[in-house]
Amino acid sequence: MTGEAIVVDNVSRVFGGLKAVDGASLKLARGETVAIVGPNGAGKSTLIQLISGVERADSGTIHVDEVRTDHLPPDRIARLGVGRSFQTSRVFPALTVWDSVLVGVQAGLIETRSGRLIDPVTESAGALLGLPFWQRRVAAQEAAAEAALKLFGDRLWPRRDQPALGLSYANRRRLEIARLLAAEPRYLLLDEPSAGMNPTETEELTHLILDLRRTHPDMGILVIEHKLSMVRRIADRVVVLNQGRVLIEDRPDHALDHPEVVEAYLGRARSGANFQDAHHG
Amino acid sequence: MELFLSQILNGLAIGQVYALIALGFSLVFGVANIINFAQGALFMLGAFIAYSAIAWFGLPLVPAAAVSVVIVAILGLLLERIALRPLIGAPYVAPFLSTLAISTIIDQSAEIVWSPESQPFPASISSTTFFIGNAYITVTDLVIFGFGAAATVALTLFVSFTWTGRALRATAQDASAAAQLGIRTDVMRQIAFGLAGALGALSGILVALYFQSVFPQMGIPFGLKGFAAALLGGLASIPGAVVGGLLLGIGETLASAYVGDSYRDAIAFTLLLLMLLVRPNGLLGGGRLDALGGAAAAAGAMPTTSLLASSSSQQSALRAYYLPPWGFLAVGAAFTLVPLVVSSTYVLQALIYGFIFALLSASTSLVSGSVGILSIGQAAFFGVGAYAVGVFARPYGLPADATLVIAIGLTALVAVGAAIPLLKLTGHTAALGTLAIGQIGFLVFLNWVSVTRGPMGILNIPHPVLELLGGLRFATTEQKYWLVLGFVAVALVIAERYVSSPIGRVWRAIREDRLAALAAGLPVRRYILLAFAVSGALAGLAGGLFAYVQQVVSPESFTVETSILVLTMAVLGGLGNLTGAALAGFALAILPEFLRGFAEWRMIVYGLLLLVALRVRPQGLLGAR
Amino acid sequence: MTFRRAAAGIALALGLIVTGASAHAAEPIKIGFFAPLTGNLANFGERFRESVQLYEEQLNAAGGIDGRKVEIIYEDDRNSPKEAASIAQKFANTPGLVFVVGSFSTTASLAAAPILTEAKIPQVSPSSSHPDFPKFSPYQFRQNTRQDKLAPLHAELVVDKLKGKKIAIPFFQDDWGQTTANLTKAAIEQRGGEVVLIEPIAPNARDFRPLVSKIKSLNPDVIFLPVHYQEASAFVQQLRQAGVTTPIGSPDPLSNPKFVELAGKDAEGILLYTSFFADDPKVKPYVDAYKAKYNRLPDQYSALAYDSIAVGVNAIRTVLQSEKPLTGENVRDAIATAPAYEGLTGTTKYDDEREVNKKSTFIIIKNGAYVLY
Repeated sequence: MTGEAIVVDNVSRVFGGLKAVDGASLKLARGETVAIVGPNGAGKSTLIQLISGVERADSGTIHVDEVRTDHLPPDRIARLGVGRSFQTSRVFPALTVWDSVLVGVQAGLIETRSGRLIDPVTESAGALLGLPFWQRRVAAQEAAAEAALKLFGDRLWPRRDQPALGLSYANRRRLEIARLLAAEPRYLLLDEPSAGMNPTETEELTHLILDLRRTHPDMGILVIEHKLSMVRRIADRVVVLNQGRVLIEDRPDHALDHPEVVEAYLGRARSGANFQDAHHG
Repeated sequence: MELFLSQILNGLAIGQVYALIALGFSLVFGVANIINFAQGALFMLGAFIAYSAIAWFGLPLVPAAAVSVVIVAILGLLLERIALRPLIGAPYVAPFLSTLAISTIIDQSAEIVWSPESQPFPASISSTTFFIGNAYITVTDLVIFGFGAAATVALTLFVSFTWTGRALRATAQDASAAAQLGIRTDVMRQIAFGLAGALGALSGILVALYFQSVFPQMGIPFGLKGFAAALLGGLASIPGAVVGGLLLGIGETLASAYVGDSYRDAIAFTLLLLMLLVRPNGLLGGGRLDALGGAAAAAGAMPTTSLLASSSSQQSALRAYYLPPWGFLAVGAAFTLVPLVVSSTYVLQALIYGFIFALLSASTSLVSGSVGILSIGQAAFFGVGAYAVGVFARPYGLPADATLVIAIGLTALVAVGAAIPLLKLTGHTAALGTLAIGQIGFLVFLNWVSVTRGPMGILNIPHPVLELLGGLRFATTEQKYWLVLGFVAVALVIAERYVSSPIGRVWRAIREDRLAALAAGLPVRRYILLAFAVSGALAGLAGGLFAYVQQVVSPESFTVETSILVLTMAVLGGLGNLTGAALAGFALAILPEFLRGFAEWRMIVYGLLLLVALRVRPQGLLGAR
Repeated sequence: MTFRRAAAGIALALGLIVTGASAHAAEPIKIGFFAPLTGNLANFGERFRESVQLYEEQLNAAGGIDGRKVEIIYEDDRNSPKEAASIAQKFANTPGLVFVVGSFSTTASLAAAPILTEAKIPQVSPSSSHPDFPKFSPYQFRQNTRQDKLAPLHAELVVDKLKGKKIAIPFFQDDWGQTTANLTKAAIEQRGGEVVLIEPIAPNARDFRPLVSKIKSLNPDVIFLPVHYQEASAFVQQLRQAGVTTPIGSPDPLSNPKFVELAGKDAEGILLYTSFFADDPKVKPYVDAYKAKYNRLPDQYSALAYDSIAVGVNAIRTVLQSEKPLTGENVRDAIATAPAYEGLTGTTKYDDEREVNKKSTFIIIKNGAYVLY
């Protein structure tokens, strides 16, 4: 139908009478980076919840690489290659950095090439007896985990034996992204990855995403982001969401300077508003 | 039809009693997010203090009841102050066990003060009964209805319209936000416990009037029903507690009427589990459960049973000491020498129980610690293993290798089946679900006479014979010591291998953040079921060995008290830390032998030790993992 | 590091056990006693302990057994088989211990039985009622009469004395209640009665209204109530409250003053039997002594425990007088072959199956007291 892409078609989700997402449509192809912007409550996070299967859409369809996913559980969708981060970063507090990233690659460990899961008995046997076939798989996954941690330079790798809870806020966000990348996803959905980061850290994150675009040319990246200066640098396209609807979808410079967007974003049009970082907490 | 209606009336009468008890739980759970196991004990104290005020001091009923309500409310405050306040910031299981320790102490003290006998309650309301055909209702029923309704309405008005009530609700919804608004959340917690104490006392007195007697063991059975009612209605909801109580009352009355009285509790708890399968939040599940992940909010808020989520002393809590898998073999090997030095079969027997409980405790630690589903029903799995050996060793004369394999396999299956209703539950709700499973297990052992021989138990279980070792027979205490030690050591090695493997890592990830684990593409349900299967297999083996050591299997060994004891072991050892669990299981199983000298004070000393241990090391002896 | 810590802990625990266990023999003759002294069945265990302690004091005050003092070791089994087995091991490892009284329930008694048998220590249980209990080994004895010998008596009580044709039997869900109910049902049917309801009630149950409504709708002529007194008192109260006036017959456990105290006026007219009747002049010295020491009347369980310890002490005396060595084995033989002993609960004379057959008296509750029927 549409090739390798996440396709959201006319999806709605209502929370107790409030339409969080109202007939939104969106396409994220592999290899492109799309940013979603919009005021608080515009339904940006809900959209990611719906794509990743954490929430169920009330109507509309979602396809990932032509597989219909709007009725699949979140773990199935994740195994289709959709990795997502959370608005409030979710790390496994008591697990060490290293263990957390290994959890990220575990699904790959138990998945065969045909997409089936290895049954628990074989998995137990492999894990308990350290069978050679199993050790080979483990070694491959550990290599992926190490590579993912090292993407962040000396931010995470030297701290790999620390519990995630002890990390700084920015490092927790980095750990979450590292965990996602270790699984080598086809699509990366990032929900406000720069929230709580200072300008230097935001800059670092911007570079990371730009690097990812280079090193993973086949990966589709969807970013919810308030820091518009960052959006301008990383995104191929910008989707502006307002009250659950797609207001505009265009190149970043076009989309972000559109008067309707300015109005929706700031509440009212301000002529000549210098639209830099409309970050409001 | 007339019989049916009269049974409904009977159900409403007892249901109202459950509702009152459930209210106390709901209140504390809503505000402090703590399951107060001592609520049953406060309920019993309420009844006994009123009894003493009337029987010893000659007070009339109403002032006696007032005195009792005030005293128990103060005890509720003290409970919060002594047992719970110091544990703020400790892992979430610590306060739960702390209330349990208090409950043990209160129950046993009551036996000492008032003797273990039932006492006739020296006051009554009226013995008038109104008949409607064959159905009937008594004046006492109506009074209880009146009080129940009044208490519910008063409580609802209080939390809706008074400043304190609103502050209570704010604390219940978000304690830290409430604190920022200037609400003294610690005072709110105290108020909640005081109110819960008062409600407990009131329900205790009403129950005493209803049944015209008081007995020191009344806290546990009525407390369990109170939990079930609260859970059925939706843990933190006031109308939910009432509806849950009434429904539970009607459900079990109908079960008693149309299936048989001995099945009443088994059916009541089964219905509860089925209901949780359909509506994990309970019938009128309130906001707190939503926040706990019932309906996942837009931000994907899901509960965490993280060991550290509320821990203030994160770093120290993380330091865990544990043996590598082969370490269990090494310790086991050292223990094989004991019979060569010690000839006392008394000591060997104590050590055998130590080994069995080490294994059982490790099995509990695996689900409760690694996966974060607190198991208060492990005795059921223990029992399935024991009965499997009892049933197959005796009439079919199977050798021990066969019966133990059956025990392991069957228990693993039962554990998986039991876990299915729990899959949607987390945190305290899941814990209460396991409590129901434990009760169902016990009641099945007691009532499924054709298989378990019911209360008669299975007697004269033959000595174990291992066919694979050429028909080796284990008849003496020494021989059984070696048999048990061998099996336990190997089982612990396997369990530890699991926990240290990637599978164990996934279990801990599920415990720490179930939603993030799902988002990482992990089939969470499958891993939880696997954990239950492994835990069940270990508990089943422990049960099978227990049956061979004991040579008698009967329901008494598999009560909720056993489940609680085993959970205590797992927590004291450090949740998720199998070395700690095994060590604590071993130590606590033989501790009673040292406490024999304390006679009837034994359980009190035990409770105090538990309190102190929780206070000193809430993360467990060897650290949670 | 981790290993050493754990190992040190285990070694410490072990050391404690070893030192803790090394109790050793002294002059007095040792007897073991175990029963549930805490927990659900503590009220029964306490009755046992009170009587045995009274006996111990009386015996030692009178100079013991042929001048040798008796020391009784009291243990609490909480009605847990695990505890009972540990206690049995403790007794088995106590030098000079030749006789054991206990426990209340068959389960606990039987959990101790294999260990006591291996150690060749005879065991007399005052109340274990499972038909198979004495069959376990020649070392198991009991003081209560076996249920199948009592069943005809129950049928007589229900069918002949209370003139019942349609009978309801709510029974207590333990080994005693279950055996009693099933055997009684058979005996009643043999006499031409019909059992319209036979249903277990759970230990510690208090709400019997569903059952009462059911009984009411079945409208039996007689209710036979093999239920312990705590639950039975709640049952009869709720029965009478529902306006059911059906006569009630019951086996001996309701011959307990506490039952009348709990059930009050609703206990009136209940017909039962007992092997221990406190108003019997023959037992007056015991009843007076018991009342003086504990400020309450003894019940049948107290009396059964008193007879249990007496049987053991008599056997020990026989062994000592015969100048055979004082071993558990010899004490066992002396118990098995002892001549008829007139105790508080009737005659103890063990048959080949180590069973007694005690005579029972019918009594009825009238004006809040037990009177001969």
